[in-house]
Amino acid sequence: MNNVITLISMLMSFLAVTGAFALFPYVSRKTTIFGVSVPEGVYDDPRVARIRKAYIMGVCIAGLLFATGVVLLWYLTGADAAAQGIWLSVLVFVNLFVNGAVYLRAYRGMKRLKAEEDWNKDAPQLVTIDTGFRKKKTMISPLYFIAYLVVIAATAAVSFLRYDALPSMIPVTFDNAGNAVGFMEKSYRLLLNMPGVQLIITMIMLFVYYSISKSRQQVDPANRDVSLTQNVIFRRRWSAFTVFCGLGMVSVFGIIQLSILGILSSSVTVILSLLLPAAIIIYVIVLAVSTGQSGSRVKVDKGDYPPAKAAAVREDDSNWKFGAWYYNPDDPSLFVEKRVGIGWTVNWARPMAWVIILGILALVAGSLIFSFSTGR
Amino acid sequence: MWLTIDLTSDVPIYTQIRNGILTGILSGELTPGESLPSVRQLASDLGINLHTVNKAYGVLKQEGFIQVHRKKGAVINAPEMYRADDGYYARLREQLHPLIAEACCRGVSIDDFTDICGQIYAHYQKEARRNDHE
Repeated sequence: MNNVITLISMLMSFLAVTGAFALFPYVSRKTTIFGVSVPEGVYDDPRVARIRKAYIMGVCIAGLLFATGVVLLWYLTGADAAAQGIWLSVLVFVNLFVNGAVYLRAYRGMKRLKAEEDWNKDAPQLVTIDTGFRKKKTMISPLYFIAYLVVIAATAAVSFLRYDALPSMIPVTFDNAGNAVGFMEKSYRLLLNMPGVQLIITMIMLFVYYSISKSRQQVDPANRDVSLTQNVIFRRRWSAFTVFCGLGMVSVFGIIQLSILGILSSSVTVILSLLLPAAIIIYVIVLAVSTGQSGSRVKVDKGDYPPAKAAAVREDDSNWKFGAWYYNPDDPSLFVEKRVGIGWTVNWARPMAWVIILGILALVAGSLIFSFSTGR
Repeated sequence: MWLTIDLTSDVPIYTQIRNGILTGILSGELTPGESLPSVRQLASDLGINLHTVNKAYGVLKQEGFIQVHRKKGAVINAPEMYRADDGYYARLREQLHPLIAEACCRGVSIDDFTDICGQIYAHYQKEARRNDHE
């Protein structure tokens, strides 16, 4: 039973990686195809469609091969859970690498096509913004973060109240069936582990929320009214996603603490810790497909707005290394919308970008060290 | 207000920003007392250098269209602050000189020239009137 759950979760992670890579050409902005900026309408060009098809075939074939590899490995390594874990990490990593190579081929194909066609030759390069953008309500209310603090405070309070009633050894790790397999001597520090994890999640979510609110507005000059409305919807939906996913995680960790304290059955924990990632993945897919990058898939009633004018988007391919890494010393923006896939990225020419990455790495390393030092 | 700049244009970007904000004031999309985005915010949204926006705001401040508050940032001035004065008339004359010189040189008649001026003036008057009606 345990073994089958491991296999399923292994296959699920490959499905997720392959799905994410196969989906992104459809959810990216139609004016940036495989990281290359093109005029409106090029998306439907048969040569572009061919590049897209080859890319998706590549990703799917790689996914299938690696999934077969996973099943074989699972069969060969048998009950050795540690070996399975290591091999899975290696395979996921190699799969990402192969997908990256497939992407690079598509990116080069698009670049070649663009060089041949010289699409933006005569069009003016316009940048349009709304000077009142920051006065609009582009984010879900930050007051939701108060709910996080309430959950964390409740988790800590219940832990303290239960402390005296706890046995001297408390369960800290559970197997897939919900049986306690690891025990530790009780201490206040051990019980405060969970509120600590919850606080770190809160900080990360606050940071993501902040970076969405600060990110550059993205308006298509040829279609400004529609694209502005879409961009606002896009920001609101993803800020809501950030807030609710974080709240879900903090709550589930609180419930896990309850089963450590012996208040709830550990089977509830097992079910929830499987349900939460599944719910988040479904949320991501629904959001990605319904909204698209920049809100490009949101249907906006065009009747209210003046018709679109022909204009080229800014020609800044040279600032996007491989179409994916943004490096532009002349741009003071720190957070910008990605060209490949959905979401935001940083401008690597800003020193702050490196500070943030190092900060996140330090946070992850710190929490790993913290959890190892308490023996979990 | 919509602000559009053309990166391929010969007109410097700071001048385009200045002209864009001026048109916004004229059409009433920017009202006296309204604050503009901060230099950093505008530069970030346009994806251009901070100095360029700084220069545009500097020019607008010098011309009396905006004020730079320590707290509120750049704020649109009241119309009294930028009414045409002797200094402006002197500058207007100076700026018209090369334009008229070229037109004259190319054989544009004075009637044609004033016609064009009249049309452009009427266009902006219409913008301003639209603002009054709203």
